[in-house]
Amino acid sequence: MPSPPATVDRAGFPMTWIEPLGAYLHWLPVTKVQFEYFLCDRPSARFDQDWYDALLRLNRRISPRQIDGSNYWHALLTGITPPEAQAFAQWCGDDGHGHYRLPTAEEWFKAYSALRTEPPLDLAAIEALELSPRARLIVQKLDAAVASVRGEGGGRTMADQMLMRHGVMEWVECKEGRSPFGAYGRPNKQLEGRLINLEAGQMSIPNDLEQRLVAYGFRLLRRGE
Amino acid sequence: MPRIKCPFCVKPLDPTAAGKCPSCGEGLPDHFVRGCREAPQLWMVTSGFSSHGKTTLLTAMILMLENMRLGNFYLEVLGQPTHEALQRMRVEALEGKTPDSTQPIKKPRPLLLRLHDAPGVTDAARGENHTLIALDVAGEMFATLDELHGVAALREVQTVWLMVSQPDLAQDRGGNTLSGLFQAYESAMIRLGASLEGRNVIVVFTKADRMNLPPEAESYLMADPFQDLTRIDQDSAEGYQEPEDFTLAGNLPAMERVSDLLAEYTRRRVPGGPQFINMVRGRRVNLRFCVTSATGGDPDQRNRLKEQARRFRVLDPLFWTLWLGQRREEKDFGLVLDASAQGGPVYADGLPAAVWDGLVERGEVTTYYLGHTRPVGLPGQRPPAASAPRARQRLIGPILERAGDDQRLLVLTTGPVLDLGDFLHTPWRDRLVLVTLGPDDESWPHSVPYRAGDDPETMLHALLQLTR
Repeated sequence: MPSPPATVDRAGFPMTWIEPLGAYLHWLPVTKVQFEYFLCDRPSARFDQDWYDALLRLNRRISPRQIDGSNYWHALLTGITPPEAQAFAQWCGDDGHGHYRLPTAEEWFKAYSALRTEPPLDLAAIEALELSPRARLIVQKLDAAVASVRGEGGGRTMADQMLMRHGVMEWVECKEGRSPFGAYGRPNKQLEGRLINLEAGQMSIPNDLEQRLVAYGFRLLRRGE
Repeated sequence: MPRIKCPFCVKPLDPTAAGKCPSCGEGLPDHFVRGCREAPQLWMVTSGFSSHGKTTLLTAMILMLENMRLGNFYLEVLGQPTHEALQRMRVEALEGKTPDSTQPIKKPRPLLLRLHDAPGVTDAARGENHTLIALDVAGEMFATLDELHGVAALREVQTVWLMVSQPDLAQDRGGNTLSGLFQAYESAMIRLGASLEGRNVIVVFTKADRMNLPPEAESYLMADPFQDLTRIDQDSAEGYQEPEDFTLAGNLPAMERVSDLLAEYTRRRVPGGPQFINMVRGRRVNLRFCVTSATGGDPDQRNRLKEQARRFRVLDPLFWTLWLGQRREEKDFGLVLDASAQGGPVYADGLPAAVWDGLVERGEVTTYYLGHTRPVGLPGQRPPAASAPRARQRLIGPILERAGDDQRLLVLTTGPVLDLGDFLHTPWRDRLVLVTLGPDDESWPHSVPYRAGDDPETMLHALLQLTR
């Protein structure tokens, strides 16, 4: 079966086509290395040294080469608020290649529902992209790290490979309900232990969206070129 | 394009520099910088022992260039001091006087000449322009190794002429040798922080009329198509005839053949010759030989030369210089400064400026802040005296991933760089020196601790070691 199309975002990290969405979705939750391109390209008072130090105190940074099954979540960016994630999305789209945003809750779950029955993708399709050396290493290392995590219900799926499970809680936009944002996902238990019935579409809606939450990160959706 | 540098102090010149060099105050010829953009600088130093004929050969070469008739070639004299020096040379040549042995001067004044439409290297059909900066260094400066480092221009010279009179060397009682001459040059280069590797050394045998040359070399010498350039035109069949199809490329095989012959001659006939050749080649320096006769014969007892002097292969050292003189790739440096809230000590006592001053003499320098992808200012612009207005994270990855393949970086920081470890197993390992003003970072292989009052040369030396 042919691999779905893939592309890269402005930071050089992979996105894969999700047919049910008619859009690209980040292959992985946004990583620290990925976010650092934004920090360095667009220095601002909002995302200054203190800001990043606060995130790293919650979830420390590791080098891509150090990623393995016992620490891989440290490569992912967490502790970020939804508006801050949207700032990154804005930056991604500023180079004129598509419109980036947080997926809606419906979109995220629709993608998850489709991917949780798909077998893992041959990484060659992702590695064939023009990834930076660090991005390539992160993709390879995370794939190997997650493969070491026990799959659920009979083996690894593409949803596992993309860290929609065993990754982080991922911010999504809510079109209905009292909160503009929620989160889907099931984080690695060593990052945050919680019981979530993801298969039933259980979403988390934190009370305080300004609070920095150690297990909360995001991935982006992209439409258009 | 390599940076244009002051011909006197060798400091880089701002593209708009005019009148005087802002670094040393020496007067620059009119439109010097602009002219150098179209005629890249070609630095030349003649080195050799006293009375071995250096200045005579240089005089003869310039006189021949003044009289050169080859295509559209012409020689332009830059600046009044050079004009006056050439006038003195011209008078001495007309009166048949051998120029005085060069007086030892701490910093010899260069002759500044521009060659227009010189024989082309990259395209034989097209002439090339060069701004020749020629220094004739007093023989006495080579007597002791320590004096030579005063000639900063040596660092710019891609091709150095070691000018030797084999007959004089054979009778030398001062212990001077070819190896010693080369080591004097090497010593100066080490003091100037410059690498020898890839440079060119041309051994120029002077006074060929007094040498027992191999027949083939002698035939080559006598067949010089330019030998009559400085003879007064006559109506007779003798006299200079412009060669119809002279090209550097066409002349090169003969030059190479003679170079090989002279290398063998050096091994067999020059004291210390084999050791010299092995030493030079062991330094990965390109070595060539040529032979010249600037006067066609000895001066008579009244110190007058033959009135219409034939000069043999006097231009060969210049031809070698043009041929071998691939533009030395300007080294590309990055200076990366800590812009974190704790980075203040980096800017104390003007440290970035002091480091920049040291780097800019060796190449082009671009300054960055850690945590900011874009450079702080243009390449070649002085670094900021203070940190960024907003404290930045100590991140370097986006800078490294945009840097040129040949760029070497010097990072000044007071604390750990968050993502430097990402590059520990990449080529950056040997292209970046981390200078720590706080706790030493032992995780990076090229790490230099800096304490207030330390000489910035230490960190520069560490970086230059990486450029070898």
